[in-house]
Amino acid sequence: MIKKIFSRPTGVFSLLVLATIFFIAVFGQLITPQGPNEINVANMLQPPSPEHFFGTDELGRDVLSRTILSAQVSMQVSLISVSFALFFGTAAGVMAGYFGGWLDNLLMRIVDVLFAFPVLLLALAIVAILGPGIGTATFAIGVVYVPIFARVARSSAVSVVQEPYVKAAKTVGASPLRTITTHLLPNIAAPLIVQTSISLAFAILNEAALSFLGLGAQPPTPTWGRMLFDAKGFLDQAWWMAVFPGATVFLTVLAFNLLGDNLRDALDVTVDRKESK
Amino acid sequence: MIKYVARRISHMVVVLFGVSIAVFSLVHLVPGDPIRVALGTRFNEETYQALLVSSGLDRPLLEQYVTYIFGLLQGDFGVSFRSGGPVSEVLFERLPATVSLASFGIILAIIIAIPLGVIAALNDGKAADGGIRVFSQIGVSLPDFWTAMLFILLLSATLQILPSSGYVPFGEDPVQWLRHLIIPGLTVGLIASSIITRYVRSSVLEIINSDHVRTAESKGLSRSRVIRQHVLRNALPPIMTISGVQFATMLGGVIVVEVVVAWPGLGRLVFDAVATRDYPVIQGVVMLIAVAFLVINLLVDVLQARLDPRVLR
Amino acid sequence: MSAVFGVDNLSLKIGKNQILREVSWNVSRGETLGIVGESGSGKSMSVLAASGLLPKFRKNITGDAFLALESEQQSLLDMPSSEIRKLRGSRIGFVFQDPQSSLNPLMTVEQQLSEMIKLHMKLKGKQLQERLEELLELVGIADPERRLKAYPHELSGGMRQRVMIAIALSCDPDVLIADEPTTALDVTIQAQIVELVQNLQKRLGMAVVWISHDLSLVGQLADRIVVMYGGEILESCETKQLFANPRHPYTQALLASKPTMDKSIKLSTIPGSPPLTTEAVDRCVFYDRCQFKSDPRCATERPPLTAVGGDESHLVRTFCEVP
Repeated sequence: MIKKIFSRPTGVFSLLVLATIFFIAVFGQLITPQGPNEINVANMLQPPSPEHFFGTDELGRDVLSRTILSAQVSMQVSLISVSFALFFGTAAGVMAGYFGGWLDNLLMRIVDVLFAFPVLLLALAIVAILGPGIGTATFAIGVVYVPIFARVARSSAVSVVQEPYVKAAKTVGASPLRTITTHLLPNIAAPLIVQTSISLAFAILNEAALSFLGLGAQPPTPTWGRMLFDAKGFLDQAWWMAVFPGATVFLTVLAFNLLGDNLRDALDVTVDRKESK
Repeated sequence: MIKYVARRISHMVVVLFGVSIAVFSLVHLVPGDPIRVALGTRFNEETYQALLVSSGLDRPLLEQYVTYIFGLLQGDFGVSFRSGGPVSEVLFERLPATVSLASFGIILAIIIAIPLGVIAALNDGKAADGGIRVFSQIGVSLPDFWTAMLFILLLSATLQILPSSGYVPFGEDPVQWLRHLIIPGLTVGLIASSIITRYVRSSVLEIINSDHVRTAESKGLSRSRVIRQHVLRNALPPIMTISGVQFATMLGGVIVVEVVVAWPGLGRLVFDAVATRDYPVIQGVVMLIAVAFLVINLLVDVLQARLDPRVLR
Repeated sequence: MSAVFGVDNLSLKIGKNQILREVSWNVSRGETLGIVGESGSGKSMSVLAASGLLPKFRKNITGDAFLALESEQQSLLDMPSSEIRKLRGSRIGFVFQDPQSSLNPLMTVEQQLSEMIKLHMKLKGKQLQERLEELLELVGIADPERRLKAYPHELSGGMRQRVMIAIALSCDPDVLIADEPTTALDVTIQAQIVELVQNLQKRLGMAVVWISHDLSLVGQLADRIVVMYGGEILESCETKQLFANPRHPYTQALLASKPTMDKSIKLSTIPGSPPLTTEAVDRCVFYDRCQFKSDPRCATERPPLTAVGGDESHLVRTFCEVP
């Protein structure tokens, strides 16, 4: 599988970008040329130069340093929220698919209800209730992706449950937990892996959107979304403030999407994407 | 057909019931007293009591819910904590801006996506297909608000041919309305088109390799007739479904783009309401969008049943 | 009797895979030619290639295919695709395997049936309506007016295949290609469809090419049979001759694997599986599964197609002398 991904240019590209992003997310503090909040008003709104590759913002802060350090929040929020969605969504979907009946009906109606809200609007409403911050943003993004994983897991589980060997395991009295862990999960892993990669892409977009709206991590923590919000006021004076952080978000999202595509081809599964955005 | 529509409507009512409970709960899930939280530093006992009575938050929960549902049925979305006026007024004041943006976006998206998707499918695996897939992959990955900022940089800050933000109602000045619409419209249209292009490509590809298209070829029909009558016609129902979903998503999903270009739509409204903790307004926007989403889905399903007789089975 | 449709030395190579190699057959007016083979043997491909239904692989095809029009033979492979389109449907009618998927699910029977008549025969209005009803009656569909308004999913499998046959026959073709037309149907329906095609052939006098994996079925209805394997013709002769005196080990094995009512005879199978992709090899294409291999050349040389005992109507491609 890994070999197959490495055999394609888009696969290599996505792995390279993601490796870089992970690296700067973990070791950001060690490699930034300047502190993210070092204010130098004398040096404000400087275009890209050898001292400041990405230029400086309206307070004279180094855009490159802030871009690098923002990776940390973005990765943290999206990884935790998607793990949350993966865990609870899969649990709900597998139970619905395995037990069927009223439980299936109830869980799927809840999923239908959640799907009636656009992803960002739902996340926004949750943050509005709980108050802005990195924790609530993570929780909100996690919640909005639960139904997607529930659907993917359920549809895979339903088809696996029909398989003779699963029916046989049920007939000989294997406990549900055992049947689910030994037969179901390994068989539905492939579509879930692909969905995880695609959801990470959208989680990064949504984290950036929430931060842009001031509902994500609060200052002084730098985030891509917040940097872009600040850049909005200086579009006609300082294009670099908008272009560099935005391009970094775009590349990261693109890399997760390409990875998802390559995983899908390598694992040979089909995933519905229309409800992710 | 009638039976099918009735079944779809009853399903929608069940989901709407769930949606109403979810939206109703919103204000009750706020830790602490929502009115107190909303008023913040503006707090004074008189305003507080007035809001408590007009919002009905002092009454028993069940009574509140029943009142809420009956209010909704009559178009009453409650009272704004901020202005004290009815939420429905603000909602319908902001709706046209969002609808015009979403309509412009979806039309643009379909105009771009259908030809691109068809060309990609007809050239499966060739250079044109590769290029279109790259376009689509890029579009799906672009943050919408950043894209809007890039358009402002290009069309407004650099070329100075379009205004960078703001909104003019169509009735006031159609030309200005369009000039202001182009940047946000291009943004949401391009991004939606990349998603729809994928669907068009995969639907057309699946149909083009199907047995009935081989039958059509065996009849000696011209290539263009085979494509039009037997491929595109059959690809229409799935394309319509995804376009409907995209349109519904745009209605509630262009929040950040609206904030970037100062577009006085529902997205901008909900953004301001979150900042001021005006919970009834948030509830109103969320409810309105969810209802719109469900109704659009219903319409798409019914239209699909008209186009594909197998759906009714 | 002169041939009306056929292929001559037809080869098709896609990448490394030799899909067809030097395939020749023809069919005359009023005659039924059976082409028998397993899946992947190339039995359908020679017909699809000949009638221009493999446009993607046009460049990979060599040899020739012809159609006799007013006693003049036309080479189909030299023809521009717009010309060959005019012949498809009007001169060559097609019935495919699965009537469920071969009909457009979103068009009514009437729309699908009239498409070709409008195009090739230019009928309109009342004449068209009469032709449609006449065709449905011809293929044994009762209540034509109601059936014309139906969508394919509202019809049974057998009924759908009758509609396919009506479409194929709608412009009075000279040749009817029946590509496994009964494989997806129940046995009783199968028999009805076979009988229908036989009757129609008698009435209309067209040539029929019947493609199937089922040798006993083809044995019942074909005048001549071509046995294909791995993209090559292994044996071809008149039906009676094939059953009485099969000369190829593969044909013999096929005949032996036909179940009989006598329970004492064990049903025999052909060991191994057919080649999925035939790379050009210098040996007999059936070599791996052959139980004779009685000639040293079997493994080193590709046997030529030779006449059996000087009889030019019975050709076989083997070195083996079989009992």
